[in-house]
Amino acid sequence: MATQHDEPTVDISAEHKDLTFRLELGDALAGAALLAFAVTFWVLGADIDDGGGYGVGAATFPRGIALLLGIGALVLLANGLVHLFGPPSGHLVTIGRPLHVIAGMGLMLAFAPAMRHLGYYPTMGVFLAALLWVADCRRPLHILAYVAGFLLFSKIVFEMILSIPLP
Amino acid sequence: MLKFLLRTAAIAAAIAIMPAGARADFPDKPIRYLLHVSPGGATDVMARKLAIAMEKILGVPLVVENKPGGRGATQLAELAAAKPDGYTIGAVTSTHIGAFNQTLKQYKVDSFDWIARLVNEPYLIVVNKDSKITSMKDLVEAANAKPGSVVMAGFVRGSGGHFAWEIMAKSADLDSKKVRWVPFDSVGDAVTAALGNHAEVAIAYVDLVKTHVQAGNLRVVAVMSDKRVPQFPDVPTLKEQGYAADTSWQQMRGIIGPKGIPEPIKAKLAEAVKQALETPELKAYMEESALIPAFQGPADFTANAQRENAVTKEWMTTLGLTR
Amino acid sequence: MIDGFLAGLSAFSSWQVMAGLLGGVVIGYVVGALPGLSAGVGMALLIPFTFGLDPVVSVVMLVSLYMASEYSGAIPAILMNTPGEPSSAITALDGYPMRERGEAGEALTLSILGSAVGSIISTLLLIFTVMWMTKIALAFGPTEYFALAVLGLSLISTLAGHSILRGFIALLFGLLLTTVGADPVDGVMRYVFTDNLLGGFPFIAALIGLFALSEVLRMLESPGDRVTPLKELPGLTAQFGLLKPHAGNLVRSTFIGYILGVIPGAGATIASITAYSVQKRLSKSPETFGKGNPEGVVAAETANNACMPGALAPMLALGIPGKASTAVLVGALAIQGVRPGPLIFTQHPEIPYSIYIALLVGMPFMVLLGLFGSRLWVRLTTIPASVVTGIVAATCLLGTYSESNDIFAIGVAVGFGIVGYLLSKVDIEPAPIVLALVLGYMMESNFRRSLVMSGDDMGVFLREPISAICLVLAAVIFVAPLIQNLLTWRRRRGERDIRPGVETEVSR
Repeated sequence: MATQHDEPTVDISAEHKDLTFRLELGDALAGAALLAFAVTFWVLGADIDDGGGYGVGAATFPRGIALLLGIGALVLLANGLVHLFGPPSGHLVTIGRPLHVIAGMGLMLAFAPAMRHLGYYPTMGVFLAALLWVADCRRPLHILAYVAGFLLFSKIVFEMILSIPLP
Repeated sequence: MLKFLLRTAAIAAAIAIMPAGARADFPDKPIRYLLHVSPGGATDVMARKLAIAMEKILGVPLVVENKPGGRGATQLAELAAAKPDGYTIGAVTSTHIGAFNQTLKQYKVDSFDWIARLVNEPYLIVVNKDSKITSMKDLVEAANAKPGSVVMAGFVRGSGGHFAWEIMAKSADLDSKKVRWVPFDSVGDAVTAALGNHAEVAIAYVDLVKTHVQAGNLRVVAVMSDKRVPQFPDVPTLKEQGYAADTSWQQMRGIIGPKGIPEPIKAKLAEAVKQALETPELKAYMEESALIPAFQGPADFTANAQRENAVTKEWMTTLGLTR
Repeated sequence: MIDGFLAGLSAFSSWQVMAGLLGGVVIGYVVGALPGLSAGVGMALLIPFTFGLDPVVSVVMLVSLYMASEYSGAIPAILMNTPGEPSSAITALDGYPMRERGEAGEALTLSILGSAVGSIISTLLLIFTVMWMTKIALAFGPTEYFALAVLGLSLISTLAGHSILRGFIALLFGLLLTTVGADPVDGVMRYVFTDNLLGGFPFIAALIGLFALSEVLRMLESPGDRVTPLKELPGLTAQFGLLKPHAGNLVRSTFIGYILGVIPGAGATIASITAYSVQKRLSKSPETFGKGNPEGVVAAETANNACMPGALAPMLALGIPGKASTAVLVGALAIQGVRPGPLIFTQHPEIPYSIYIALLVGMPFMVLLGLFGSRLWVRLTTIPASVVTGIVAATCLLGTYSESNDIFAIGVAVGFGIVGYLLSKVDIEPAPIVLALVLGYMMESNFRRSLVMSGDDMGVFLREPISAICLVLAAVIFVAPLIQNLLTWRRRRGERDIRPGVETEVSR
């Protein structure tokens, strides 16, 4: 997705697998994403019923803000693109260990649907064990102890003391 | 999501037609009581009081769960997906019926089983103490003399309070051009606006304004009820003031459940509600909070909900809110 | 007043009241420290237990819970960038960088002592000005709330950090998100893709995502066996000494917190943001804010704890619950047959006065718990990062669920976590997003409400004095730093062709 960019000023980090790219590229990507977001809100905003007979209706604010955000995102995008083809500014975005981060995101994203279908305890057990593994806690016994400890904590503090039912 | 709901509904239906023997001794486990409000408000307090009383009658715990969010959407989604076995029930108010016609159109009165009505609460109109308005007649005259000079504070458009005002307004030949409805985030916020004289007039409940009226910060102009309310014996009813508004439109609170609860279970729950409402604790609470006991069993309550729904629909159309 | 105090004091001679006080403090301490479980939720969970209790016992217990949780939200904020209470998100801005430098002990000490000072001065203010404060509370109607929200949003120019453009983008992004849900005036749907969004994005879930879950992702970037250095804490008396350089900050932040507490609907988060921004403006080293300046921690924590007694003023004297937690208090009192409102001081004087006494007596307990606790809590920082990562993520997901018993909220938290993480990679920070999430709804709903009331007359915002003052102030606050920034940018540009806004160690 992003180009590796060798710069003399790059920090030599502990791992070689770090994903590093110029901030300009990051700006362009973020600008494009936010622009798409703003455009979506602007377009969908047209469907909001703006009746009611008053000058400022339900769609005025969202569409106005979407317009401003769109302009801001466009500036960010344009700025990024212009500088991308210019001389490098030396500002870099570094994502350390991108695979670990993506694994973490995946686990978090899977949590809500899993909890809906499997219930709290199995989901949390698997999630915590997997996340600990991703975060470099590799001793099975430790993982087991932490997971068991946390589930016990949920049971005692949340379900029993605070009486919040966990599905 | 929809698929999931449909599947749950199918499973629920399958369970509902199981032989009655399987659930002869209802209830034998805790009952979940889902609320659409955050803890602490009047609806929450009433529900918790009721739960305590019903626990003693039914012999199993009633677990009150607050499921606020989406103006009832969170609560109703969970309720609709629950098994119709009587072990999941939910609080209902007039606001829900408004929502069925406005924001939550996927639900109808028919989507749920109406188990029992608990209480009614009359709407009333209050004004700031500095206002020149002292009676409904003054209000009408002020609005006619200078249309738009009087604004009425209340909850969102299409809420029970809004219709209550429109019903009163109709009896006085006022329309929304003469008196504009200003929606606040809650009836409490509307009353606060009247206290601060940001809005001259507000719609409210007895309980909300009782102490402010006693302290002289607010004045009651009209009560939407056939009889004078004991808290404000000096305030004449609308009829006494010469306005023939339909006073049956009041804020209702009740209990509903997912569609398809077997009749005997509904009857047992309704009976428990009826007995609970007659306990001294709840009687005292209702009197203190100016709630009018208005128990109805499943059949009457369903009919009443249908009627209220029809009135709501009519007003939604009249006011152009059915978009 | 003396009579009232005597009534309150006599109530405190019973052991049940003292037990309620201690119980409330301890439960509040735990509830506040758990992300997702805010003061209001914690108090609501206690309500069923208060049924059988005496009114004074139950109110003392709930108030001390409220007080304790407002403080203890700072603990996870400092240690793990996880706000335990919404308002402690602002504490995290500087508290967490301090902890990364090994100054967790100092940050925790400052937060408890700042909280204590804020809370005690504010309680004294409450006792003497409660009746007078009702006028302030009632002076705010839709027009004034709109102007107040604009004033709050103008703080963006302080919070935005080095890049105004990025600050604005973050703010607008947040504002756009607040428009999701059923519209506040007409009730029509806006961007409601699922019914769960009818009420908009759940705020606490969004906050946990933006701060804690995005931090979890950042922690995954580096190997899990590292531990942060930890500087030794000085002895107990020297711990108190840490507060010395912050006297002015404490007084200012307390007043800001108290006044914003009094205004219903403003609340602790706005108080924290305001005090933080004011302190940043007045600080000798504003550029270190957000990078671990202790002044930021003191300002945020003092203000949010000073806010709490302030919020009790309209609740007691008018029966107006300004926010979720005071709404629960009103409910708890209603269960006992006590109606807060104009008559409470004559009909039930023991209630307000026992609240005052609880706040004053409870605070020393809090401080002890906090100071000894801070010695214990800092040990957490010596746990390997891998374990912290896992436990923080798990606690946040659990806490998010239990705030509203809604699985959807977990999805919201995760979404905000990932988006917040990615945006922070290009220096779009979470603080302006939070500012927007807090104020967006207040601004829009009151703007439109005002126009409905005035019959579409915009002039109303300048005719009402409070609103006019707020708006002018907002314009000044907003424009001043922009000019300042523009000048710096010009100067820098003159020196060398460097893009503005990016936070850099420019070689000069």
